[in-house]
Amino acid sequence: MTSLVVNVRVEVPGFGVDARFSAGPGVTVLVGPSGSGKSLTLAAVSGTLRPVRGVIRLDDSVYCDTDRKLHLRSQDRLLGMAYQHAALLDHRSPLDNVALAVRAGDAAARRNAAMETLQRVGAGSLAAARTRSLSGGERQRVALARAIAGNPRILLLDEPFSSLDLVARAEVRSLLRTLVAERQLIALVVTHDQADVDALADRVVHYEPGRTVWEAE
Amino acid sequence: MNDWFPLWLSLRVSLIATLAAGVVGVALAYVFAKWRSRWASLVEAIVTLPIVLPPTVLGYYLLTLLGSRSPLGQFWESLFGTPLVFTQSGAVVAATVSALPFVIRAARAAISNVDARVEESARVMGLAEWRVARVVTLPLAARGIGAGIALGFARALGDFGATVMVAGNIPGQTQTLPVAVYDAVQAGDDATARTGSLVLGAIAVVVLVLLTQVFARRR
Repeated sequence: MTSLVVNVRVEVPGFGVDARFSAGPGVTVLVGPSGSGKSLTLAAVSGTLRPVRGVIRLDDSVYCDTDRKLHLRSQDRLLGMAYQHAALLDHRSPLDNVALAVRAGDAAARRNAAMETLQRVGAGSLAAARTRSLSGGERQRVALARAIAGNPRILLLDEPFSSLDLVARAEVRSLLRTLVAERQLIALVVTHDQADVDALADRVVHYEPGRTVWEAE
Repeated sequence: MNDWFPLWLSLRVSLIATLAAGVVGVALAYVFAKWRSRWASLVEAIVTLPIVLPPTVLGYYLLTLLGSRSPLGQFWESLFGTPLVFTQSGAVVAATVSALPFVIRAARAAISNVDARVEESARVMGLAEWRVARVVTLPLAARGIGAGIALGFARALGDFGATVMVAGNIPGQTQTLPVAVYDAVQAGDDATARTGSLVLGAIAVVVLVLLTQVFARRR
């Protein structure tokens, strides 16, 4: 079975985190107090931050191994991400946003694939809308479409529901679960919200400030 | 003012200079914003020097660097068969170098202010570096880049000191409008000086109004 193994120390000025867990297909929720290092862990998995030591690998593909001085560029890791803070490009239409993440084909093929993905998440009617004027729930649907458009194996989501009202939150959670099951994705979700854990988690990794303390199915 | 040559020359020189300073300036600004090293700081200090140098001093440097006896000047002459200094091409070079730091300063600030996380998420989506720049960074920095280019144009249009040193003051050949105004004042030709000044002032106002509107619309 596909498995992501994370065993790294990640540091930024004034703070470091030792993250150690593994995750298979399904939703793995990273929970713990603010500032415990959950988002830093996602940054290490995405390749935007180099761990000071350790290994990250997906099955036989090594994303990062500090002993062997290996560090795969973000572009070469098969990832999709939807972060609350770095959501959509407002100067591009929703369709363009999703098409940018499609990795194969010419421009027309990428747009077709993007349209199909938007329709899959129930946002086909938003393709040509003004991105700036989308509601929170609509934005998050488009962001999810963009995250899966490149056929990633790993999905990284940082507080993906925090700006949504209760109804939209339930809808997007359910959509996420469906997509993850359908595509056998390994989803890492950072959240503060216990309701997210209850509704989504196949597996939970618990953080204390600076380290992961336990993981459970 | 009977002879409109200085106005057309000024417009032509400043438009070409703005184009050159825009392309070179935005590229340099991108490098300076992304490449952090002592060398980058040194190069940045050198190319933004024209902001603080008196224009005549800048012109003197350019004259020394590009004059007929300098290696660069001789290289130019071997390519094009004419000297660079005291020609319209010389005026373009002077205006470009004067405008360049204004473009670089504004564009660099705008590029640095683009949220790094948005660029990172584009990389995670699989976009190569040049596409991150084209699709994410430059569009998000467009407002600041536009402001820098407009200021650069105004500076190129209004340049006197560097232009007069590098291109000279040859009526009908290298005499731009600011130089013509100076010439007219020296000759006691008030009508020409007044008309030239009003035209330059009007163009400056139009540029500033356009700039303000662009800012207001995008905010």
